[in-house]
Amino acid sequence: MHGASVSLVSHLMEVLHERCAVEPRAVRDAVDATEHYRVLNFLGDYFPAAELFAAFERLRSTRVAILGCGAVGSWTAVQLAHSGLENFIVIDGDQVEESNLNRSIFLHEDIGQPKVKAISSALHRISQRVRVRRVNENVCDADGLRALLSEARPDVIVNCADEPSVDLTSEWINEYCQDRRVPYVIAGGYNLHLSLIGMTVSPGVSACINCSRITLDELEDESLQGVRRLWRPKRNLGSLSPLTGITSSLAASEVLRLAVKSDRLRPAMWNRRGEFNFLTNELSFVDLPPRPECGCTAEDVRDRVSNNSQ
Amino acid sequence: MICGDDDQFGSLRLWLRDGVDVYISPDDVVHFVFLSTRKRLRLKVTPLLIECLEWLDGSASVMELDARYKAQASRLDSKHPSSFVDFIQYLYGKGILVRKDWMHNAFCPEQVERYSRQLNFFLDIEESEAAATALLKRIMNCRIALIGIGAVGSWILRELVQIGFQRFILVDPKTLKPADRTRNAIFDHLLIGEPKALVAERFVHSQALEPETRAIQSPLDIDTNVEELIGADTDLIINTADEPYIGATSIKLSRYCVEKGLPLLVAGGFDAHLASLSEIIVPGQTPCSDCYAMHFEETLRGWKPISHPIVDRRRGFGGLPSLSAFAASAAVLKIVRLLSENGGDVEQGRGEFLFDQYSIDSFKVERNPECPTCGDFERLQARAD
Ligand SMILES: [Zn+2]
Ligand SMILES: [Zn+2]
Repeated sequence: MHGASVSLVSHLMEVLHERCAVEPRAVRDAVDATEHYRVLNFLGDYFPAAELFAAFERLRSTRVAILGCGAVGSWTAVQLAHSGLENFIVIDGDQVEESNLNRSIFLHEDIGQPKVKAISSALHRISQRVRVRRVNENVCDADGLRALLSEARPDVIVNCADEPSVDLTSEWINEYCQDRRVPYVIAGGYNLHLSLIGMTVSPGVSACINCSRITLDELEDESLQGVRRLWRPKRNLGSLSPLTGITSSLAASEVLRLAVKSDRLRPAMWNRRGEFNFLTNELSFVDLPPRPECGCTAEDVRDRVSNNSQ
Repeated sequence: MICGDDDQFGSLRLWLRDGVDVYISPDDVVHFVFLSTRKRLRLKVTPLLIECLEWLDGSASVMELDARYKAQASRLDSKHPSSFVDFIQYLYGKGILVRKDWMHNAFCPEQVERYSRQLNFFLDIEESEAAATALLKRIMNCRIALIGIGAVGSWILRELVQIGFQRFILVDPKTLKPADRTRNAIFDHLLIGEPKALVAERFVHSQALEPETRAIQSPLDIDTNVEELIGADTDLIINTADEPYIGATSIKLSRYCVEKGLPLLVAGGFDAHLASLSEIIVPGQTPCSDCYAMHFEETLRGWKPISHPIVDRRRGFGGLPSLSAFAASAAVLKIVRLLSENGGDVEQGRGEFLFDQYSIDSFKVERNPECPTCGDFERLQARAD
């Protein structure tokens, strides 16, 4: 630094600080003093020191609703509690059964308990500060879900419910969320050796579930068009815990990105869906852009684009 | 006529495997699509045989269905040269049909209840009842030494127990700390201060159906005698210990594993690499830790470190529980693939999961024939025999 002027050095420090490469000693010490230093350190890669604790506070206080507390839902919930989130709304009408233990966080002693109660115990083992609102019922239509969510007022919703079907529950959530401008994450699930990684939707910003369906329909496998599918009732598709782990880890990561509410760390699953392949260990993605014909965000996106260009 | 061994076949109640999609095109071609491998099989058959496919729900035996088929065929008053039993036997041989009760023949009711969805998964991967059964049995019998029950090790343990592993040697010298709240999958604030090896042991005993464990509260150090520490009955070692330094403990364990012909999985550990997808070392098949060390020495010679596109990967990377869960899941998948017959080749190389766009970076490393540890593996094995 021979010959460097003071202003040059201070400018350099400012740039490094903005790029999160250096942080004041006081912040460093404050981070080290908290139990959540690992998460703060992680966020420190995206947020400059002055914004770090505020970002963590936003994360901590986010109210997340988890619809469906099966394998993916239960895994997602515990990862969020380990990350420091403290406000949960868990929705599921089922009870824990022996057959759930091979892929969810439920324990042997939870068998026979409502899943929402078992999840609540799991979250309280992680932190006593956690508050869990338990909704021990199966949501069976859009109105029921709207009533429930209007009352609970979550900041983020994660859809892990596959009854009656993921498509249907996603549609109900989308209806509520587009209306209230609440972001949601479709956690996905698994389809044999594939872990599906769902999309993240921020109404007015990214493609919604209906936009994605328009694109997916266009991508349908043409080689099987015109053929009849054999009717198969009571199909029991396989599943494996680590595939649940992968799906839920990405769902939890997406919730964190939504929870910090900042352009510095935005969702990575806007406008796309992914698949993790057990056999090849590969992740692949399909782009699912906003579709103007959907009529949801399209207008807002268009408005914003035209505002920006003015 | 069904005779001889076919008698047995005739009594089977067969079920169209859930992992196979069936499509029928207007020209009576049946398309079987194996969902796990996307493999397809196309058969041109008679309309009556197509109708029979819907009967295969496990409610009637092959013999009963054959009688129903013959009755229908004679009512149709058409010549049906194709044999129903031959058709069914062919589909059974291809793994498209399975026995309705195949799980119950191999496992007790509690095991079937807990693992039925997983056995279905194994059936889709292994494509035969026998191989799927054998895979779960191998899982239940495999004795794993898990070294380090922390940010990645605890998540690995949790998943392993879920999928049926039950024999463990659990090694960790530390106690549960308040800050483990943000990283340990078996954290319970009521257990703060307890040795992690014991917390883990209690976890296995409360969840596994037939647990067999040893908890070891000593560290694995550079001068530790591995066999004295973990015993001689291990089938697989998982190293997630980041102290004193995972590179050092892994080289030590890798040399031990090459000598004993044991597989080793190195997961997590490096502070900056918590989302490392782990590497599996199978002596004689994959590079060993010394091969990796030589590879990096070679490729990095003359290179200067450059900055990584991620802003800064120092201590923060991997600080998220969700990244621990990802790394652990990838590691457990490697173990399942290692024990399976159709799980594909054991990967040679390393991979890393990048948080920014959820991409996987991976690269291959070959075994080094000059490796002082494993280069001589075949001769070493011959001598051992
Ligand atoms: Zn839309
Ligand atoms: Zn070697």
